[in-house]
Amino acid sequence: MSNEQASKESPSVDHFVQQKYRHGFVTDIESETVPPGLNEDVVRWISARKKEPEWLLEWRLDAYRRWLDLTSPNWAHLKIEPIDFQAISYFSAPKSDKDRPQSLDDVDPKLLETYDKLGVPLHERARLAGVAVDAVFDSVSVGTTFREELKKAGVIFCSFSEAVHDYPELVRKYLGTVVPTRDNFFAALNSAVFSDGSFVFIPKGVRCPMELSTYFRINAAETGQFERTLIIAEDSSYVSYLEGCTAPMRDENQLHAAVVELVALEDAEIKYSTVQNWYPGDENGVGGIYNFVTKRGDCRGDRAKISWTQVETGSAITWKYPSCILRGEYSVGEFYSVALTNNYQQADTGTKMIHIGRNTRSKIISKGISAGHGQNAYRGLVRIAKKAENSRNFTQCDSMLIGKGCGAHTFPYIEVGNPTAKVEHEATTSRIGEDQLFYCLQRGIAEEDAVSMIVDGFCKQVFRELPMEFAVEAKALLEVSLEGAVG
Amino acid sequence: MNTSSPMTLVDRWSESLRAAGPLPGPGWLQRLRERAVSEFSESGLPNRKTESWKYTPVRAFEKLEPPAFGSDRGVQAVVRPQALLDADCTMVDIANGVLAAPLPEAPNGVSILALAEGMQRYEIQLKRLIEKVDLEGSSNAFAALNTACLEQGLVVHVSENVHAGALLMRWASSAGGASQFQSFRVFLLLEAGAQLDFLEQYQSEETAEKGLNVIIQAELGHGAALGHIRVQSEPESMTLLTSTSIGQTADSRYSYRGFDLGGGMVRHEFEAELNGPRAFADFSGAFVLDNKRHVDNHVSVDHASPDCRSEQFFRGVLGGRSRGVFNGRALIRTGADGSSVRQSNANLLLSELAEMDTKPELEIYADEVEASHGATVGRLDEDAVFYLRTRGLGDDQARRMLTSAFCRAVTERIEDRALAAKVAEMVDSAMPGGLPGNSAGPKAES
Repeated sequence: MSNEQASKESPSVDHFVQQKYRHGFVTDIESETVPPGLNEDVVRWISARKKEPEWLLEWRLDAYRRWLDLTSPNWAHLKIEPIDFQAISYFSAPKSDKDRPQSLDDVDPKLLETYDKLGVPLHERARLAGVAVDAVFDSVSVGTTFREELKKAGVIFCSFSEAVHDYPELVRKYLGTVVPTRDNFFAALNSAVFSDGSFVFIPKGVRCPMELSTYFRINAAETGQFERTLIIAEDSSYVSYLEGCTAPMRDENQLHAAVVELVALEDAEIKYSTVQNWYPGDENGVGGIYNFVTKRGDCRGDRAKISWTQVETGSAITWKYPSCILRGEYSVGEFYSVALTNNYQQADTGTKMIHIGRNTRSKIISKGISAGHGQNAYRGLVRIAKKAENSRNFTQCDSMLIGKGCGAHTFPYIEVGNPTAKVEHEATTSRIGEDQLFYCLQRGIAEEDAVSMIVDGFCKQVFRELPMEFAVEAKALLEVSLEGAVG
Repeated sequence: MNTSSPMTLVDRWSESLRAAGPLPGPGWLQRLRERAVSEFSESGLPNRKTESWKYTPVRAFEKLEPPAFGSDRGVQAVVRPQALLDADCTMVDIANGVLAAPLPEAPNGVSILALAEGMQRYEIQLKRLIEKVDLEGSSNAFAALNTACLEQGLVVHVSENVHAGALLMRWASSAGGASQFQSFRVFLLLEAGAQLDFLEQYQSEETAEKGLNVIIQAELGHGAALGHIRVQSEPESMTLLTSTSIGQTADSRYSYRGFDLGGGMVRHEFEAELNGPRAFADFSGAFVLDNKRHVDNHVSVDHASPDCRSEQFFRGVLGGRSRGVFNGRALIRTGADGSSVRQSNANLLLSELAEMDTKPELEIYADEVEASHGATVGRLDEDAVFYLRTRGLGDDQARRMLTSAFCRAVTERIEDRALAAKVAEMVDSAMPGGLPGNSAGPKAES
């Protein structure tokens, strides 16, 4: 696991590791970008630039070649203008401080207004709005303090690039084993050009002493559009990981294609919570982030548990299906989701629960809210393999419609190949309750407040699963996202 | 072992369709047939990557000969099943895909015609319906095939406010002869206020590999009502494809009660267009499968008008190495406010090797709607089994009783009580292993 071990195995790795320390690794990234377009040279350039070992370059190239054979998926219930993948620049170094807003006065007042509504603390606003780092209150030291404590517990939590250099054998062992490079078009693209991301390793028997969040990781805000996350929980370990944050993030990239891989070994538990609030485009559907994410967890060991919780309110396009492969006996998969589409946002999101091991259990709770001209689709797969005896799935996916122009769609795939399994799926779609609204109005509650109260109640089952700090903010976030949907 | 790949099969069939030369009928139909052949040969058969055929393999077709033409298909050798209804009901027989002559005498206000004659009388309506069938893409390969050899058909017309009573269609294939893939088309034209009970019975003797590709197209006028009952107990050598599309106007009602108790590879497609306010479409089906049977029900309801209702209610019992597929879709278009949709699909898996794939879809673009769907796959409730055992029933008996009750939810939806009881009995005897104390269903006439 150490660098010495790795260097004994491969002299080229040693070479790169040496380089990394000489340059200090994090620095020397002053604005360098590759010209738009993607070819093998670009992939080589990115890898060289990140001083990656040979095997990783080969892995990226292999992914690139597979990507060439794949086509952009068109089965989702999304209307997307064709994306010109040759018009995108696949590597842009983080902006230097002089390109950023120098203080909050330079930041778009609309953004600041939103922070106000969400109750974002003053000192965090600057960081979120991308104000130059040295102007931001103490964020670096906060991060460092946490890292110290994690280190004591034996938890590895670092950027993906750091992990490639410091723990190459761990990365090599697990990378691409949950989401193979050929998995799908966007996963292959990510594998070829991924910029950075997070790496988490929880050793055997360790309960991670705190909730891990990209929020506390230095440089996390600049991981770029092709993020790669790998979380490994060894036997009997536990980790709760928070991704994203409720406040809208300033982001220059329109296309995001992230890959998240989770590996849970025997008796391990991973809880992965996401709040996604990227720029959704304006009221007329202009602009906004395209979010194509491949997230998958593998319950490799017996009694492993992976739980996905997501609150998706941002992005113009959301294409995301956090999944669980329930391989170990008695392993458990969970998916709790709130997806909200307003204005012209489109979401096609859901989950896949693949039951392979015996006595595996899964639970899916999905709440879709459509307002304005939003289109919201739940797409899910529950597969019970022939050998998955006594497996159990319960799925509930409810949709709420607010307004005339929106749409709510449900596409559940259920494949059952074992008679001892029990699979239940139920779903409802309806308008926001007239009676409930009327009752609230009668009690003197304003219409907008009444709607947010009803929506909050509708989502309660999912919010309950969020870590405390997210749960409080999620409610405020829905309120802000629903603004203008009523009346 | 398959000796031919699907590609060569498509080529072979296309060639034989082209070689058949012009079939009788008006010029526009001839041109459409030619277009259908080229669509078919261009798109080929659907495969696992064709979304609507994801769970239904088309391997069974490789055993079939190209589609057949003409009425010389060994019709005499066909053994007709004992009729589901009393012998005095209006009855039409289709043997080896050929309409048996003479056609029965139709009640007042009702016409029952062979396609050629019907075409003369209702050409405008039939042309509209025939041209409406989507021929493009591999998912519509069998519709293209049916259109390409559109020659045998039945036209039923019910005049305004006429209650036509029951019409029974008996489908049967001969035990011997070529493994032809037969096509047939049925047109049901119901004027305003008309009513028709349309029954289909599919039952053949144990046969060589046979295939049947049926398209039923119905048009319901204002306030018309079409009751559709289908009881299918074909042998395992039968490949049966049906596609039923119903165009509905205001206040019209369509109800389907389907029972699949046999067949090798069976697929039923349904498409209802609710084009007028307060139209109602109700699809209920049960399938009981054993051995390597495969039954696929694909239902799609398009709510294009306000205040329409639709329901999909399917129950499946799967034993042996059988496979069941249910795909229910309801589309509620913008402006179709006041729509109500209910989808329910419950399945019992009785054997280790059976498989059920279900997909109840909703696509909703209007906000004043009520839509719900539910799907379950599992085994019998052990508590219920236990309860019956405490009442003195054997384990086997208890399970059979519960399985039978599970399907009664569908047979009870047949309004005609006597027929409901008869079908329930057939369902019971089709249960894997058969239910004790039940005689078999209708036997073959000799």
